[in-house]
Amino acid sequence: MTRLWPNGEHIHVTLDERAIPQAFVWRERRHVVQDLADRWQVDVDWWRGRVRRDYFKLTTRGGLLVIIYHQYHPSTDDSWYLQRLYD
Amino acid sequence: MTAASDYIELHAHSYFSLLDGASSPEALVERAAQLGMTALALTDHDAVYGAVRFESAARATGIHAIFGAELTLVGGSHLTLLVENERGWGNLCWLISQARGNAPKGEAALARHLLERHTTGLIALSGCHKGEIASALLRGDPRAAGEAACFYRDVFGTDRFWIELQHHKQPGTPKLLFKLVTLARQIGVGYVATNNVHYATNDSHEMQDVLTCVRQGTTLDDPLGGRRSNAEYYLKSARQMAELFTAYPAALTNTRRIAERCHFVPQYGLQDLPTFPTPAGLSGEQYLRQLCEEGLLRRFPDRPVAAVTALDHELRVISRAGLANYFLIVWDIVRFARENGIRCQGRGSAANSLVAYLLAISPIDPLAHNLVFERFLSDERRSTPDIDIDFQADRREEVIQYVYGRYGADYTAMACTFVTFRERSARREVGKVLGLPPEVIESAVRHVHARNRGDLNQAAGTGSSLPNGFSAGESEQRAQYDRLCAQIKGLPRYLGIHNGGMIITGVPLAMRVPTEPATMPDRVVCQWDKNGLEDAGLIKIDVLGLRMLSAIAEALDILGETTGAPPDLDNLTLDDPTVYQMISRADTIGVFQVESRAQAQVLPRIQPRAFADLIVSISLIRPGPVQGNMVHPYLRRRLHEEPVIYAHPLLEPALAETLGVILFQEQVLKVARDLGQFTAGQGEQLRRALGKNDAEGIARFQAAFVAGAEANGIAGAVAAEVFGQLKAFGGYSFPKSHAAAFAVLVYQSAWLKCYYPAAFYTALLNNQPMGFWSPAVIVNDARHHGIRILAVDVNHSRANCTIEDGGIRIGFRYVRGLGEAGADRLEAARGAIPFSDLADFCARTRSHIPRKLVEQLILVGALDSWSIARRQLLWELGQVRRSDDELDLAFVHEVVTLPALSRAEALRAEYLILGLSTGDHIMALYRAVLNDAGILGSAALTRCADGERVRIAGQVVVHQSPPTAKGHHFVTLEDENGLMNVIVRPDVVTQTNKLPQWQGYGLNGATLVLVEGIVQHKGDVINVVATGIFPLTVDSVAK
Repeated sequence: MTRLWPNGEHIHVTLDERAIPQAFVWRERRHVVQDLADRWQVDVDWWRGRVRRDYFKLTTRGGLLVIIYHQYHPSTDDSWYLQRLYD
Repeated sequence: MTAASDYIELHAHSYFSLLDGASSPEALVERAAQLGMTALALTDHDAVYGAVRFESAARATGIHAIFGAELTLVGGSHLTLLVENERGWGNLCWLISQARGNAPKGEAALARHLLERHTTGLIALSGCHKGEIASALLRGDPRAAGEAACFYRDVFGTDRFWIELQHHKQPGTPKLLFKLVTLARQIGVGYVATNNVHYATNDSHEMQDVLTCVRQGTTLDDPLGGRRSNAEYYLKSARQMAELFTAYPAALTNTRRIAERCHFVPQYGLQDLPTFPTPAGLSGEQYLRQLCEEGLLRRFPDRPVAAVTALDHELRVISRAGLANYFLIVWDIVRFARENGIRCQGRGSAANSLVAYLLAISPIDPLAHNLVFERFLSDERRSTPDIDIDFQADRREEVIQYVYGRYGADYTAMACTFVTFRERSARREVGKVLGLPPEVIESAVRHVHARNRGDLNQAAGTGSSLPNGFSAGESEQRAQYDRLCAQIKGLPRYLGIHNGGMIITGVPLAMRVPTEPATMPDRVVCQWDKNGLEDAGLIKIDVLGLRMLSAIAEALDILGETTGAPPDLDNLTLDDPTVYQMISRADTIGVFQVESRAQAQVLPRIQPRAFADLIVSISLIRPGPVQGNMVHPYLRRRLHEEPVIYAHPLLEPALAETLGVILFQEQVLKVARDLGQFTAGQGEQLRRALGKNDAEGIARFQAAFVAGAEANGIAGAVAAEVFGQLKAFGGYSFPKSHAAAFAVLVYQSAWLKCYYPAAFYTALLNNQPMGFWSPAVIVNDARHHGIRILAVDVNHSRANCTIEDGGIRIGFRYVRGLGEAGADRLEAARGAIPFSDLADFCARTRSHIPRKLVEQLILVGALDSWSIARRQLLWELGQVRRSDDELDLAFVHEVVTLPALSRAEALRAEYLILGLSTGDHIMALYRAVLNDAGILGSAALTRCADGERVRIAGQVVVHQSPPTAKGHHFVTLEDENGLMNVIVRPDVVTQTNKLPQWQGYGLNGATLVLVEGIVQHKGDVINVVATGIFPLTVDSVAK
């Protein structure tokens, strides 16, 4: 089972110099990234409100396997979200 | 630090990956140059459509062009191929041809085993994620991936097969790259990075999405639309690629290693023509001379010195250009046509050549008409001259098949064309992709008038292109629609077949340029269009179809059948005063090239009296003379209303024959020679620059022209003025040679109309669509010439129109919905036994003529011969069992009495079903009312004085508003007695907006208008300059 937040759970992320997440805070709890398993980018829906996101699939030192993403939207939303948590 | 030159893109698609790539080859090259790339490969899907343009752009930019393609294999997997050398190019062309030939049109599927003996000179990359190896790894089948990799390694060799790595920021990419690199190391081949580019810059990914949806028939909102999930398929810099491939730096440096091995540029030319088989012991040049000597004997029995000298000169130039073989091939095609009774004649600049005349390729003696051979061929001219030949359209296919048979299907193909998005198709396709409602799309399409083509960019900029369809709150959506339509316009959609351009090679064509099946069975097209072939140096021979030649041939056949001996049209003396009188009074409906409304305005003023006048007449109404303001000065000078003057006396030899104005392309050469001291070849280059509106080239020639003129003692200001005239002329005109060849057809068709009008009109009606006027106008013109028009009749008509007792019987082909095959079947069903009654007709035609068409035949009077009223026949038809699936019910046969069709009803039926009237003209129905209201027709108009105010009424048969007319509209009205010309000035044109598209008024949808205006006489030409224009209604008549 995994938990999915279609609209994302807002998180705060710490990045390294290559803009790769090192840690994130979710529900007031800090999770340090152990390993980056995968990353990808989507850039869709330009005709009805562009959605551009960088996704990261990573494990934390606490043993979580998660998918988080960075949403690019310079004017309204330039934030990080947790989308999926694997059991 | 990665240097820009460390990465070469080896996998790029242009928009010649049809409905997939979004950028032109030129845009890709330009972007590569901006990124500092020193080389770039073009690898379109199963095609080299863009190779010539790519090479040309790359050469201009100083980038090394690498040719290739992404090949589709059976099963749908992809393989990227790059050309190392000429042998590789041949193999690539062959493989593409095989792949295309093995799949439906527009697709490709190469059987993998065909690679085995065709890999020399090619480098293979393993392809995108659709490549056999990547796709096997993605589906978790490393064994299949390994087997495929080993197959390609063994077929291409370890140094010419590379594992292709792509990183588009997709899920799972790092893992896939790791597996690919591991595999490459295991089997001992290299790996290389590419970006599978589909657009030059990332902002074009939107257009790529749109194209993908058009290709797949989906909308952007369709989640299964096959679009890519991000915008990473653009041409990336070395730095960007280095960031993606930090783990595999060799993948980048290997791009350069591969690029340095590819050094091929296609260079073709005359050597690619087949060698024409000559009689034993004769070279091509000797045989050509022999044929010309034979022609000389026929055409000039006295061997005049001028002809002999010109022939020697031309043969020498032809020999130096290596063109003897080419002439022999063309001569042979024409010989075949003539021996088989197919009418044909050369057009264009070939008619400047005495050799073409002696070989019977051209009908024009260039010496008699003072034509310039160098306009066709000269030592300075670099490109191969075109010889275009018109054949009668209905038999052109026989000629094409002859060429296929003569040189072999593997050595012959048609040139392709690229059908591009035009404004309407852009509106329609983009609208569908955006998911706009059909009514909005249709509203947009309707709004796009054909004449507005080219305004789209401007419209998109102003946001004013669509007056309706979107609500006020949808301005963003509308702007997006406009923007995408503007962007897609001009992009190629699919491959078409050139009108007549044939390419013939001495080696199998598929080794020179790929071929693919055309829609027409047994036809193949090559992957380059006319421009590509010309730029690559492959010679095209235009085998064109001309319907007027078909009409002339048919008229002669009719005369042969009806009189026993057709006239010898090819040996007319071209000087019959009766023919010229007919042309001079603009009695030219149906006559080749001089039938238009504009010609009808000019002919009565020119009063052609000799063949040379015909050449002038058809050359006058061309964009060059019209835009260069040459027409009216010429007419005034011809009518002695102004003196013939020259900007400098040296112009007189060049321009004397056209009274000091420039009408012909050749005159550009002569003026350049006489004033600017240009050689003939330089003059031709100047003409081409003018024709292409090549500002840079024109400026270069202007400087040379002025310098040459000054050396001739001519003031700089005068030289500049003359050059200004050349620029205004622009070259958009016929060469005199072309006009002369066409003038032969003008004379021949006029001669037929003059002496054998029934045969002429019949042939015209049987070869529609052609010419300027509709069949309805042609039929009315025939009637004005005293020819009876006989209605369609099931017992008398044939499929085509025929001559019957001196009149013209309309053929079944004119019955809408019957079609050519239906018309033939109807004629065959009758055979030699006339239909006796409706039941007999139905019994003999029920298997192939549906009830609806029988109704139409009844309505146009085709079953009138039994003297039963048409409504009565329709009633009876309802009681006849017409097809096997109708129940065989017993009807009570009621006897009813129905009124006959009124004149108007019968006329309406004819217009709707035949598109013409065999009886009344629609205006005749209104005549009494119009007479009572003092509204004139064409007959009365001829008696009006210049300046008189009139009201006229008629049916609109032509409505033109050419771009050169500065907002004026020209309307031709027709009534039962003839035509009336109306000029509508721009201020009055606004009123015409009240006449939606000039349609929908009066009976049967014909456009009937009432015009108020002032009569204007210009010589024998009468125009009405409109002051008001209205739909013809009860109210407007009563005003």
